[in-house]
Amino acid sequence: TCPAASLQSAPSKMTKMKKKFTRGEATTFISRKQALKRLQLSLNDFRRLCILKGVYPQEPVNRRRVNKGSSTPKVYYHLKDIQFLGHERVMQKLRDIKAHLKKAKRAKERGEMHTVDRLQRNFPAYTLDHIIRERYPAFEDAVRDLDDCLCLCFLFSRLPKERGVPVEQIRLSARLTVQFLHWVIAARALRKVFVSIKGYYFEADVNGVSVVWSVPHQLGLHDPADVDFKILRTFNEFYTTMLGFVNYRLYSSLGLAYPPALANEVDPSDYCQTGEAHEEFMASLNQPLLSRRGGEAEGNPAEPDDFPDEEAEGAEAASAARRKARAQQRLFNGCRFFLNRETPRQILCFVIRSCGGEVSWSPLSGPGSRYPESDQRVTHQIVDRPLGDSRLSGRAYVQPQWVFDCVNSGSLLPTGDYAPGLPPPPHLSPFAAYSADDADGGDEAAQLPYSATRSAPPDPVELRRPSAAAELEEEDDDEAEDAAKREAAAADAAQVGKQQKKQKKPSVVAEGTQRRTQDAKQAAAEERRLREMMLPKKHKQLYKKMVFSRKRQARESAQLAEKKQKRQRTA
Amino acid sequence: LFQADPAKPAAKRLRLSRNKKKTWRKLSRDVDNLLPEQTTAELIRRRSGGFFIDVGEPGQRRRQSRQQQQQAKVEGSGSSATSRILSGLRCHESLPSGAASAPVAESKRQKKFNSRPLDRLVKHAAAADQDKAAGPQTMDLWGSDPKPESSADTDIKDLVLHQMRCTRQAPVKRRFRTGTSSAPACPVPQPGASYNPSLADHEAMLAAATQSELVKESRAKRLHGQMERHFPGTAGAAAALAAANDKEMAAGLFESDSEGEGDDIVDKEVDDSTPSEPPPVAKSDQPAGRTSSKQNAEVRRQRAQAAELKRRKRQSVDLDRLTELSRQVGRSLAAGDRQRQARLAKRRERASGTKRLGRHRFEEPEAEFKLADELAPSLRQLRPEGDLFVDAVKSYQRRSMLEPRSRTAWRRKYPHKRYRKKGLEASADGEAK
Repeated sequence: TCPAASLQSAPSKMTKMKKKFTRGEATTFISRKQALKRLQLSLNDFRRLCILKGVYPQEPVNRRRVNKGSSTPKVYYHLKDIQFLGHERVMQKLRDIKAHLKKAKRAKERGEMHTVDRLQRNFPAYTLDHIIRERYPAFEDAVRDLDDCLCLCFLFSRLPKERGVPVEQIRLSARLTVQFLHWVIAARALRKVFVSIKGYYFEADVNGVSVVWSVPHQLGLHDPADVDFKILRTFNEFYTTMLGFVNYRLYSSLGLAYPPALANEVDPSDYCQTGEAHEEFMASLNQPLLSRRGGEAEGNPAEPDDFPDEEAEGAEAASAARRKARAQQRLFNGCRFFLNRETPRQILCFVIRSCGGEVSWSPLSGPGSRYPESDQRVTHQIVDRPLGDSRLSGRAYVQPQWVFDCVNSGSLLPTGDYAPGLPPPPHLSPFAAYSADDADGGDEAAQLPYSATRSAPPDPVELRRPSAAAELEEEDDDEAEDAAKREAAAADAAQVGKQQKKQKKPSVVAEGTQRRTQDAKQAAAEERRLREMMLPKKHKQLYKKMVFSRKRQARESAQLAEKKQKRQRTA
Repeated sequence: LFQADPAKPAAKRLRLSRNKKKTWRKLSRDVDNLLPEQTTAELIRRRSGGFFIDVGEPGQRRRQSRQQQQQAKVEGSGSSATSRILSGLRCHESLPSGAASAPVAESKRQKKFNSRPLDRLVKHAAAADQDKAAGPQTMDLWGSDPKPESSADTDIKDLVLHQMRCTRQAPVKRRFRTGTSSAPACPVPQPGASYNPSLADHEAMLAAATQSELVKESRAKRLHGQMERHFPGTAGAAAALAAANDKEMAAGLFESDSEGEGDDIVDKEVDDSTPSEPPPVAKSDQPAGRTSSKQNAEVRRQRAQAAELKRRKRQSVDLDRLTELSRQVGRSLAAGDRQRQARLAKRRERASGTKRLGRHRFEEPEAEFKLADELAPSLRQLRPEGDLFVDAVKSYQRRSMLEPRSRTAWRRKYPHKRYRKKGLEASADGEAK
């Protein structure tokens, strides 16, 4: 056979040289700079577009492969995501805005104010409805993202005007958040409240999904240096649009009119102008809303269904949760509250009304008051400062924490513990799981009201004193045991004291004296714990063993003593 | 064309210049003459309370009356919008009858010329209105009511089927990369951060804070130790330098210092004859356990030889160790399986955790806490800690929606100059006047 034919018939064994970085990760990722060049957008516009469309930077598995051998840290995006961005019509609007601003600047520099006015009137605007529809094809997807949305909208609603954020955006956030709160009140969807040092944390049940959001305290905001408000403004722009649609859907599910309207006529003469009356009275959260068919909305929120035949694993827990939810929904039914001026009015009004109660306040505090302080039907008055003798009969005076603790527990707690002027019981977090094992032997002090120690804070001098544990570092290991024994012995008195307290019957003692003895015990216990924390590691194990053996001995002796007592009684 | 008040006859306008005072005096006799000529637009606005061009909604088609249709035919086809508008206007009917009041028949050229700008204005106004809509087209984004199958849906179905027939592949869905992070959007603080925490919770929180502080301290100590090891004497040098600097700068400030001093402040210790040299780098005092690379190579070679011998020896007895070998194989397979599981778990953790984007790593913020004596006795006296804005930004960073950025001071490379373009200068002067 001729060589040419053989060459043609045989399969080619000469393949092309494979070039590096032409396939795989190198082609699926694109750096930010490249993306900007591809889309022909400025960095700020690109960031805005990414935030609106929900395109986020990615981390490739191997940065070297993507960056063609170099490992400089860059921000990478998926190429397909950037291509997807290119089809967005909002991008064209951003370019139009840029051109528009250029014209306006030129006109301003030239002094052509009428042109500037004209341009201002015809500023290009865009809508985000299609983006929301794209990102959340179903309503449930939007509800799952509601946490972020609410947190940011509540934050923006509290901003002062001078922050550089447009006033309209702040007002819109305020209006939408107030609308959402109204829905929670109407649906009785509130499940948890937590008052922390950072702010209030709420959890509500929106269409079966738990939504958690935070509200800052009323006091002035800090000025955070490392927060980029431009970015947050874009997020807020998106979230306010989304919240509007979500509110519409939630309102229509309850049969309420949207945009919401007040069911009754209001008289704004004392508070604001007629134009602002709607906003102000809505923000007071104390007015009933108009239903779709006209007339006041009916107060029949959807109660969680009962499935008695469920045999799933979590059936018991689920049914318990349902029972608690139902209890929370009618917790304050029939209760009438009056809020004093020093209490956080909006928060308390929201919480109380979400559980079926009625609220009012002094007309001097703000709009929305329904009945005066002297009303005979008032059952609870919320007070946050030491009261004098001016108390009206027939009502309980409580601190604001009582309301939050009742909601978390699902039942009306005794009001005596929360009387004004006295430190209330601790406010436990409903988001943390407290197991029953927390109250183990010797830890009764832990469950006692922490506020009992506030009147006698631990002596700072005592704490700064180098504890015996620190001295142990210089001693040998043999002596460490002795030192640990000394440690245990020194604190033994407190331990024994606690044991005795547990076994002692509660004596009839005046409240003041009991607390004083408790204070001393509390202080001792706290000090002991701090000293335990200061122990070096190598001694901690020894110390733990010793404490354990002592506790066991004490328990055994206590059991024996009990048996003896029983036998003596029966004998 | 249009009169201010049809009842009152129009006064004759004196076309005098308003330059000089005497002409003004002449004009002032009749007050009406002082007023500037009313523009038609102003007039119409006053009479009709604002002038609107009602183009109508884009989707709708106004049913024209028979008369309007006939008129449209007579006027010829301009744009439908303009003809609609013009046919709707009947302002000329209020004019007194006469040849002058009837609308002048437009020539073709004039009509074309006149209609164009109006067209464009009308279109522009319509577009602007559409864009700046007070609200979205519909608030019901997710359509609570079940929609009947529209033609759009069937078209899409046909397209998809067609594509499948031709390419024998399903069309690629638009993949939407949602965040896979498992972190919650609104992280709730620990129970000890309650404004009135229980003893146990508060102590747990303080213990956690103490731990983080101890970790920081240990890191600083380790760094200090490393510095001391490699550059002895420099770790405390910064502090010593600062102290010496302070002492020097404060010299003579306090009278008590200068009382005891004499005039001769000569340093006896300084010897300027030879320049000071930096201390030689101590290469010889390496920590124990370090061997040179040659020694390492020697050791490695010996080890390799020993391993080779061992391998050969083992091969000869492998037959007796078959069962053990099979057990070893089983063990190694199991180890491989465990490693695979660990790898998968690590990958999952990596996917759900915070991604490394850009230059800076994500740093978990320090949890805010209040010491025992800072706790507020009541809600009214509570002073808040921390900032929820920072929390929000950190939450986005934790879920890899934003990359961590640090603030850099913006420094100008060259001094800032302000100047005005030559052309603008001239025009600005003219405009200012």
